[in-house]
Amino acid sequence: MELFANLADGASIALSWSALFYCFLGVTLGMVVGVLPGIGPLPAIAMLLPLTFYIEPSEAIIMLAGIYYGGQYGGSTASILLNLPGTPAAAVTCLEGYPMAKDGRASVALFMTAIASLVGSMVGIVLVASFAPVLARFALEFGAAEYFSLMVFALFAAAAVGGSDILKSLSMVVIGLILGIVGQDVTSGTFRFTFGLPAIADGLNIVAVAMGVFGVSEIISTIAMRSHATTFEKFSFSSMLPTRQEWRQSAPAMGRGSAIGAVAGILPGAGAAMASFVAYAVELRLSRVPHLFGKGRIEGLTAPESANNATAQAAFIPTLTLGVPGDAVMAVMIGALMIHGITPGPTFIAENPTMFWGLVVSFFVGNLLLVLLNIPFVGIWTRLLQVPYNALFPIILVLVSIGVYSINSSVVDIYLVLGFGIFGLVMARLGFPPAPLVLAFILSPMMEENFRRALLLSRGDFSTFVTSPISAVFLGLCLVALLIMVFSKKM
Amino acid sequence: MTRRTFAPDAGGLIAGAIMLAIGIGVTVTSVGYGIGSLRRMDTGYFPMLLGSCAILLGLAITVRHGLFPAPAEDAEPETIDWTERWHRLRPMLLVPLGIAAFAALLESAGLLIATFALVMISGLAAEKPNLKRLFMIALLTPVGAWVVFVLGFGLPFKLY
Repeated sequence: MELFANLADGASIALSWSALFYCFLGVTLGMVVGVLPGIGPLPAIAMLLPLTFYIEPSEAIIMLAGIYYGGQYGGSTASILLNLPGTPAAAVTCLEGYPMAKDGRASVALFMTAIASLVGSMVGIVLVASFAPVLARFALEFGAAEYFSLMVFALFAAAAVGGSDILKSLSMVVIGLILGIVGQDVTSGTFRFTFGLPAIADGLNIVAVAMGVFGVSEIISTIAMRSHATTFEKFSFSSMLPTRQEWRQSAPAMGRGSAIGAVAGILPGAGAAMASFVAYAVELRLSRVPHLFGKGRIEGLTAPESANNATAQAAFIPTLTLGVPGDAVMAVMIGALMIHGITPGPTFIAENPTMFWGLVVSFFVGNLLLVLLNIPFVGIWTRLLQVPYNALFPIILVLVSIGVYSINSSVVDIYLVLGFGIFGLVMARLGFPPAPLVLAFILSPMMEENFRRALLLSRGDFSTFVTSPISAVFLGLCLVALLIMVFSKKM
Repeated sequence: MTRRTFAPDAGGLIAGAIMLAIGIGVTVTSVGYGIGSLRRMDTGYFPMLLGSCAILLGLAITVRHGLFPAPAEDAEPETIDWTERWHRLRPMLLVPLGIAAFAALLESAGLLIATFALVMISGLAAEKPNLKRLFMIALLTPVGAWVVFVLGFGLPFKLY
């Protein structure tokens, strides 16, 4: 079969010693930043970007991807032990995980989240392998109008997921689009919004923007929070094993969670945080004992964990085949690929088959490594949580600054991180969510290009966006997303 | 001595004003780049559309703020004393200052001194900085950065 031939092809890349090493490095680092609250995967990606200049592009993307899905595994550890989510998607994990830990069942909770994560990831990977090439062939049919409408939909979806206040989410989308325009216009060569600064003539650096609005502002607000007392039980392997009853409750929940997460991953603009939230809500709705939720129900723990990992893997589908990222980290990942001269889009798989299939195989490898890292070595991660944040954050700031500088050897990029850090902090205070901005920023140049081309082809007729059925469907979905946002606010 | 953090719902007005300012600035600048026609758009067309969207959103936020002011909270307005205020403000000042110091020193004084400065300055942002530990970290981090980034990755940095 073609699929197996492709996978064998990918294995030849992913199973080489150097690829295995970079995969291991990626998932371990992802695990570290996932475990530690107050550091997302973005600083880790920023720090490793300079390293990727010196290695094969396929190994670079294997490593960066490992940081992304490794972070999903790590996120649950702090949720369970400290009631502090390590990543936004792990916020739901606190609801059942922390009560279980208080009950003395932390080991079982950690074991089951690792298993649930593995199940969710595997579902997501199978979907990537089977569905991504199909979607890519379908997307090849997209013209400029369809592409533009797809991106509009992705931004609406990101705004709907990104915050409770629709006007403010959409505002961040618009600001992101404006920031994405900065630099030289491809068509006319005019410099736009560069204020005569040569350093930003080629546009703002996506890593600097993302590190500012996410990294630095998150570090600042974490410092301002009080530190937490940390005491942990000892973990032995036998104490981690769940009872047969717990297996029976978890298994169907993992299946449902994986399905929800996989769908959320394919949708451009919907991230892992939404998937885990929906998965929890579904378990609550289906349960015959909803009053026991919030007191340590294991299905309320495993369903969201499967969901966010399935999303993390499936999110590579729109990212790689459409060039439309599902969340801010994926947006930075696209930026990283572009640095390597690789543009994700419908032709990505056809043009880089070994890279794509190597990545798929590395997902399998990485997830197995993560289960190994999680179950036998759980003690290491709990000890990592005991390192005080005050000792860590100056080092993180150093890594971020060096990483951002190294991309272009540009001091201006460090000042950009600084500026966007302050901007992100002010906007967060006023209730503007940062994620839609980063997504819009990366999509902006493509949106303008397709907008201009669509209207050029239609000779200035706006109806081209609704006469194409595909484009009309995407715009209709925007309306649905808008209505959902307005409606859900009233409830 | 205590004070309120924010006027109860000044947030809506400020948010609307920011969006309006961005929108007007972008629209005016874009028109200067040349709009062109729908058939053949010039450089300024797309940014002008975005600027207009920003103005509309800014107006919508302001109008909504005027029509439906944020409901007054039943609970006591949040009151914090000056030590608490200082505790919250300090990271906002010292972290950016540390990064600025790093950027300013990197190409003149070199990687080692810039890293030391960033760690020392930003480290003071902690609530109760442990000065002895911080100094140790500030001495060791430049060495670590040198080993990893210069020796390990081979990045071209001016060391000192």
